[in-house]
Amino acid sequence: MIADTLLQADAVERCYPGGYRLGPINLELRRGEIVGLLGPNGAGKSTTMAMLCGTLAPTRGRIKIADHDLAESPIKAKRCLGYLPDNPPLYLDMTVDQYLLYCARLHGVKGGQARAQLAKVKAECNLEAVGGTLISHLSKGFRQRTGIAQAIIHDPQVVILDEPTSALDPLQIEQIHTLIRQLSTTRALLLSTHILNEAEALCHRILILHKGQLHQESPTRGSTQPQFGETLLVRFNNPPTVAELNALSSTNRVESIGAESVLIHAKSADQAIAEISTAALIQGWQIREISPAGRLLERRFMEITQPPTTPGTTA
Amino acid sequence: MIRALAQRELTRALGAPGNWVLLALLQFVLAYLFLLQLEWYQTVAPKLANQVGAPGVTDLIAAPLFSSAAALLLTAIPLLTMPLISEEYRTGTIRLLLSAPISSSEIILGKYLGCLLFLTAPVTLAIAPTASLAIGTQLDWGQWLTGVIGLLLLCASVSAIGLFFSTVTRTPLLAAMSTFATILLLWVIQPADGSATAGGILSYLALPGHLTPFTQGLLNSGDLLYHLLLTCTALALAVLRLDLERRPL
Repeated sequence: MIADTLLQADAVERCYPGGYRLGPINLELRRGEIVGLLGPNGAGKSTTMAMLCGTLAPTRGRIKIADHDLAESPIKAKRCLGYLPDNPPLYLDMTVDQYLLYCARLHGVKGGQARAQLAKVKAECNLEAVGGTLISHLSKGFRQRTGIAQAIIHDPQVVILDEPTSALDPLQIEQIHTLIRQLSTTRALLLSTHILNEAEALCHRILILHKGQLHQESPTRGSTQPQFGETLLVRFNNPPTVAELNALSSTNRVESIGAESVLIHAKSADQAIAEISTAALIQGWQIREISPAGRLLERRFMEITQPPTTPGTTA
Repeated sequence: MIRALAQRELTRALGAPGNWVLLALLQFVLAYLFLLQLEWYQTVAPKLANQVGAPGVTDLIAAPLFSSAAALLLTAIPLLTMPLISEEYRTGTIRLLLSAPISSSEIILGKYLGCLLFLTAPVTLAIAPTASLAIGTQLDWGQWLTGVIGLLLLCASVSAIGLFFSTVTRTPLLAAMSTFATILLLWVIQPADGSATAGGILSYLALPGHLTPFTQGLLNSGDLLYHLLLTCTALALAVLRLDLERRPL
């Protein structure tokens, strides 16, 4: 288990004059895992990522990448790391091929190996058609993909992507998601996003950052399936007890939220819906709403990022 | 790694249209000065013909032209060094370098070498006309060569200063202005009596005193050391400044 922890941050903090403090941040990325970092604008997502990538030194705390301490042996640690900042670091006067080869050289990948990696990465990021095009002539979507290609050209074990799908159209977003899933099979990925749906669809674990504090959402243990896609919010007119719902074979865990609503964590959402609706018909629970988990993440996000409001005052 | 950075810097400099305009203007002014100097030499040459130990063509054409070239380079170098790091800050590409497995000193050295390589272009342009005198007359190649070394050393130290200021700000123009101000200060700084032999730090710091000996054909270790010190100090400061980019506040 320890060998598979590719990135570890222990009590990482960055203090600013004026008393603002980011952290302490504790996080662990394991091989084969996609972790999402969520948070409102200005929460410190990009700063956190910059610290994990060594472009910004933390005031306190330690970061280890593939067992190399980022402060003590930065060169070795950074060899195992690919980073896409929120603004892709592109040289507009280079062609895509020149740029990616340059990035490969900067990461110590040379000659034939660099060219092999270039071909592979271009295929993965759908950049084959624009290899000879100047980056300044590329559309935003292509630039973003060039940025992602830059982060993986040296085949790093840890990939950190700061808003990888911003500025892309839905089709491109889907392509990037597929790419990210492919990458995650042998690597650890950390990505930040504004889009809750994206985090749900993609991530095995979600971290929510608010006002410099990291709130860790516990992962489904032992599961490699995204956690949030498997949770349902169900409202009944005539609600059953939690025990009754727990007794159903497809439900893992049932949480009561309010008088009429429950959250159902299930192995498979489809199975759970089928079983609950059948049971509801027989027992007369009268289902008013079944919705997939988006609501759950949204609710937790709101809980963490919005100050609590007294009941009845919400508009 | 340093080589990759230097190569990149050189291709960037060669690909920037502004640099070519700058080189063209530089060459135009130098060619005009060369012409003036040549014409003047032709008027004085008959008078010198009968004197023993009279200054030769290297003294009368090459040396003044090297001095003018030095002055022109001092104005051009800040413009060439200004984007080195500050442009990377401005466009955010610095994060590519900072997150890559390279140290700050490698980044600075790579950038510096790339810039120096590019600066060989204006230096070549500046010395080519004087070398062409060898077609029609006899040049003092020794004196000519020390002049060239002087120009190269000037490029080395001044571009190091420019590189340092480029690490300080994300506004390239501000970097150029700061570099220019510093060079200007080094140019004019001297004790009130203007004597180069007068002791004291001020006269040692003055740039012209470490430049004219080269055009006169003198290769002093003291002058070499001056440029070496200036270069190393500026580069070390640049490395420290770049490191500060990652350090906690």
